[in-house]
Amino acid sequence: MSGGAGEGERREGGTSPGEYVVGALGLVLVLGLLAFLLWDGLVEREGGPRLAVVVTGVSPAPTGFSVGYEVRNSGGETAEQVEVSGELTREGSVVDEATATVDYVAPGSRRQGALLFGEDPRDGELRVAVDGYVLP
Amino acid sequence: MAGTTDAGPGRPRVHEPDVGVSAGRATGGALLFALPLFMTMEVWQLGLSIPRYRLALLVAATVVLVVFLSRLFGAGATGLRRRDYLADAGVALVMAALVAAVAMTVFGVVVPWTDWPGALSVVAFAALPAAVGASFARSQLGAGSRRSETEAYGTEVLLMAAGAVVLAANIAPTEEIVLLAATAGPLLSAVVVVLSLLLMHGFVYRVGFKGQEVEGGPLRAFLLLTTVGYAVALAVSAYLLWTFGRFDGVDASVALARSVVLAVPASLGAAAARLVL
Repeated sequence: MSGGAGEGERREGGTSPGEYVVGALGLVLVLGLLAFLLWDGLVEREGGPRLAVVVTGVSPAPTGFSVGYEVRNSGGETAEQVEVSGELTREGSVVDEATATVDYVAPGSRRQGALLFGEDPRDGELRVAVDGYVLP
Repeated sequence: MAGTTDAGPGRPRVHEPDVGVSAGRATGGALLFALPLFMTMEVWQLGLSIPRYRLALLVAATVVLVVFLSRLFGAGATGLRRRDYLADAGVALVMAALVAAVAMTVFGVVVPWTDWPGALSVVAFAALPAAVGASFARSQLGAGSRRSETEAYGTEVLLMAAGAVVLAANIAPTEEIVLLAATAGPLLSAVVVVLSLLLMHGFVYRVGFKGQEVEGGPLRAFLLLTTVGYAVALAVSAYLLWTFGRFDGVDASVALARSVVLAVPASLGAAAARLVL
């Protein structure tokens, strides 16, 4: 495993110019990455999760209707177990409700899912909101 | 370390190493070592969610480890020139980043053209184990490690730390560590520690891998290599778990239980560092 002396002969004489170039690129890469992390940590990721949910569409489902949603986290921290709820009201009274839990929404990312309703959500007033989350 | 048998100064040069060969070797090592991690869910999530300063620390620690491994494996006949092994480390890092970027994009884990900061975070995190794999590809792929049989004690300890990282990295980010620690309880944890130590001692002393024989009998070997190796493995485990947020909001006993679980593969890797590296 530790290699024989004979195998080692293939690499005499040090390093070729190409290797120095790629090696220097590695240094640039690492420094660039550290700079990015510094910027991301200090500028971009300020504060806790900032969650917003939008309805992306309504489509028929085998048993009723499916309301697609997309949760976005524009904040600086991951939100876990994000509760998304939907409420359908007609003429002031709630006719249907649905909830879903999103595992996690990382900063700057979005997750999609669907809420399932028995009643047609296009008829009446549909309210979809994020009810709560857990910090990691 | 320069004491290899074929390190004569007047030796003729066989041929200049080609950048393609060393890049290809690094790519192979990165893939062999890190592909299972590229396909692990926790890796995709952790790249985004771990605090930036911890990721930056992990990047720095990985670069140090890669440079150390390159120095250990990559010395040419001209001896240990700093710019040689630094260039080797650079090649390993570049190829690891490339492999991680391609793999993550092909698997659809990241979409660089819609969310580049997120993609960069995930790829950077995934590239770290790949860089470790790339840096020891030389011995892993039988390309001829130039490591001598006996090292200074300090190098030996660092080598154990590298072995611990290599064996623990694949399981460290996963949820399973947390679950196993929760089911184990204090009594079983103690049994696990004893078993880890026995296994290590078997690897270090009884099986007697090259360069790890210590004069003065089993007790001396136990004190000098096994217990120190276990402490190193436990420290490496704790550092990785802390980085991945497994210590956040838990008390010391739970943190210790999780470290002990991760130290099982880590200690084995530390003991068998010469075998796995």
